[in-house]
Amino acid sequence: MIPIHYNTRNLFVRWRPTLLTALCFMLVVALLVVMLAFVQGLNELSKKSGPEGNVMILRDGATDELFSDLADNVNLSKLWLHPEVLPHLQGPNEKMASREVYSIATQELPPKKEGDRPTYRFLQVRGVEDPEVAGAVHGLTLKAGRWLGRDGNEIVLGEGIARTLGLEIGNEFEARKPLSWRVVGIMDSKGSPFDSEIWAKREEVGRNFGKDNNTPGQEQRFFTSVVVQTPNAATAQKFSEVLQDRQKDIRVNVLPERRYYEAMSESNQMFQVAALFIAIIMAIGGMFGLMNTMFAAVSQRIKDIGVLRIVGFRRWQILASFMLESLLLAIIGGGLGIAIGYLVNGIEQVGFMSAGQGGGKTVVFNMLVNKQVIITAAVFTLVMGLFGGFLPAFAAMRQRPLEALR
Amino acid sequence: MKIFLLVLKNLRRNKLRSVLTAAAVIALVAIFSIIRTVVLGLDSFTEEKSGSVRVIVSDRYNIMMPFHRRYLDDIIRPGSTLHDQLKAECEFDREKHTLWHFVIFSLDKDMKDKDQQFFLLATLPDKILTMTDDLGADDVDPRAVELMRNPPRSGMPNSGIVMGELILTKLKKKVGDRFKAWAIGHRKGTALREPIEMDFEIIGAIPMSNRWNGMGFMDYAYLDKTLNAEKNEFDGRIHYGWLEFKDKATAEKAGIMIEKHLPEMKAETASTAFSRFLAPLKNVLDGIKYLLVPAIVGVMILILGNTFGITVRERFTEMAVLKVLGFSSRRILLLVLGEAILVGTLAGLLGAVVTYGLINGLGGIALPNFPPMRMPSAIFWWGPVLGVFTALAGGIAPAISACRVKVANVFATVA
Repeated sequence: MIPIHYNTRNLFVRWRPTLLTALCFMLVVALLVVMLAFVQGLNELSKKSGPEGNVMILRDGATDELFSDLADNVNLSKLWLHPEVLPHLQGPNEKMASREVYSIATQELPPKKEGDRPTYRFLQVRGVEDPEVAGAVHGLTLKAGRWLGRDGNEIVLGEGIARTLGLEIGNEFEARKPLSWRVVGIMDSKGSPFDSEIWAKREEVGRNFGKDNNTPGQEQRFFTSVVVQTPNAATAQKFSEVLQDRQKDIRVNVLPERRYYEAMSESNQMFQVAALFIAIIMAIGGMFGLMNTMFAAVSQRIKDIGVLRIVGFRRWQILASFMLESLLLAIIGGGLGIAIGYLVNGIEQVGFMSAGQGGGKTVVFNMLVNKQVIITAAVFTLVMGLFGGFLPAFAAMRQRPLEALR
Repeated sequence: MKIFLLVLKNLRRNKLRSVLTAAAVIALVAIFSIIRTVVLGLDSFTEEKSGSVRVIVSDRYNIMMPFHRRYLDDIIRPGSTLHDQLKAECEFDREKHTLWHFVIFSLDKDMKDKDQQFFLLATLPDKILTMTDDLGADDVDPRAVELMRNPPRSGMPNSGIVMGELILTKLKKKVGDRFKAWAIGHRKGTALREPIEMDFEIIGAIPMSNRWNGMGFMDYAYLDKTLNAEKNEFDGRIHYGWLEFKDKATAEKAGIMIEKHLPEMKAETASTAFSRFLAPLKNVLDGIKYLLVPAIVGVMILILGNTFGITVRERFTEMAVLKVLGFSSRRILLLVLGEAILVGTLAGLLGAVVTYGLINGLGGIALPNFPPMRMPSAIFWWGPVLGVFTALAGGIAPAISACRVKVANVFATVA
């Protein structure tokens, strides 16, 4: 086999094209890593949605709790009097069910200048009946303060929204006129879908954010979801199937909570496809650049190739040598690209998850450069190097010794 | 002219290198054009168009929450204080209004099959073609208005619907079909809250190329009557009211007047409302503008710089001979830059033409919840300009290196 230092020396001697080609690869791969880190960060959220035994109950046909409404006069506990379900809700799991109202409110912000119009921003608000139970069901604890009580206008914030709004324990906050809330707690919710949520009393959310029917004569309170905790994922799946079949009494859509958030992550697939598409097109450009470099290297070393053939090296060894050189070049650039792309690991971002039906959820998450991202980028680099170097290596292999030396 | 001929000759000498470089530039111009089209498309939703401007009236504190229609009636009813004020100060024409109420239906009564779901927008039929962006008489037969009110086959008043071809394909329906559907979010006012059942006849189709191809329009009168009969909580309510004004300044003024008069309502221009919906995507858009686009330009510069760097180093002897023959350093610089610019320009133009033909031939770039974005004709100068810019940036260093060639050093090496 042709010694590898023949190739490394060439890369060193022809350092300018080596540098430019490696920089090219570095940009393409770094961009790929950044885009995939964004997607992975969003995907990771669905895994932190809460204990894997949680089951989410929505109104039938609803795939987004924003568009779900379960009337509170419907006795949902009838659902889990079923003999298959009841044993799982005894002992420590008894009463581990949280009835919630989720809404997206529009908060009015004062105008930036005198005479300007006010601006608005969206706030994700969740009304809970028993905040401690809700926290336990969702696997959330408090980072600071306490859970909201039954008296007064108290709220608990996710860490992310607290940071966004610049609020701390004890601050007052006006979600809408004349509703003023006081922050009493901040959840340890980083990396979960609840990080951008404001938790308040169910009645206040229902009354003030349009989830209750206040029409005289038609008064009705609604929940958007009920989340029930079961011991494990297998029980959650079984529980969902059993309840889903009991459609004649109560019309509901029941699914494991993890599946609900995974479905919301499906919108990330669009980002992932877009990221790969962009990276592939840029890689095609990069590969042509590599081909240029390697073709130039081959044409400048035709005499070398002739000599190598005469001293006994075979065609396939010539091919392998130049392919290796191409791969080395790709690895140098790709390695630098992965290292630079890794710098975005942990950076906080705001994203959007949606399961269709026009709804969705704004989430705060951290970009994630994990093993999957690095392996994808590494494979990408090697494929670029292989495709970019093959034709020049093939051309080198086909050189006839005597013609090369003439 | 001689320099141009020399440039052409030099590029032909190593056709493979010229073709590979051009191919790389074409690929990168293609991706740049696609990205720029998407960014411009999204920006267009958040910018006011010239000419008449629409105002959306909605609930002030809740997103997508139906509000009572009487608020809109207060605005459009002649004789009401607000209407008269808008007419006097903002030249408001009450005919230039419409309303929207969104309904999700399913053909599956049990609502288990997501593929059987579709959106209908309940609105005023006679305002569909005049008050809906990007939907005009070229897209939908103007007779559809009458047919929506009096569908020919079913005979049920107001039950005609117009649907997008994309959704018709998905549901395996066609114009003339009659069917029952069940409203997912609109329920009877009974204890069991069963879904409300409605009958429809498809009386028209919206073309696949149109942004509304994924949903349909129904007569609000039919929905209103049904919700009332079924004692649904959304009876008499709408999601949005739309008003049209002559320009942005008037629309803003009208918005302030409406909000002052109706404190429960928000009245803002459509572009302002869309900007808020796009706010969660701000990071993505910033990443595209400030990371992705510069990276693409950077890769193009590197590729062109690499190619012409190799070319110049191979031709040092030739450059020395040119100098001996009387070529000035400036002419040699122009020669090398000329080669780079010619490759960049032609490849950029070819990339633009190919991408324009491919993307627009396929109907544009389709993103979920957005209309297809077609490439603007401005791409025909983006491509060449990008090619020239990157050729200059990448080719300048090799060109300077070429014009600084020292004849004595070159011939000493050769000797």
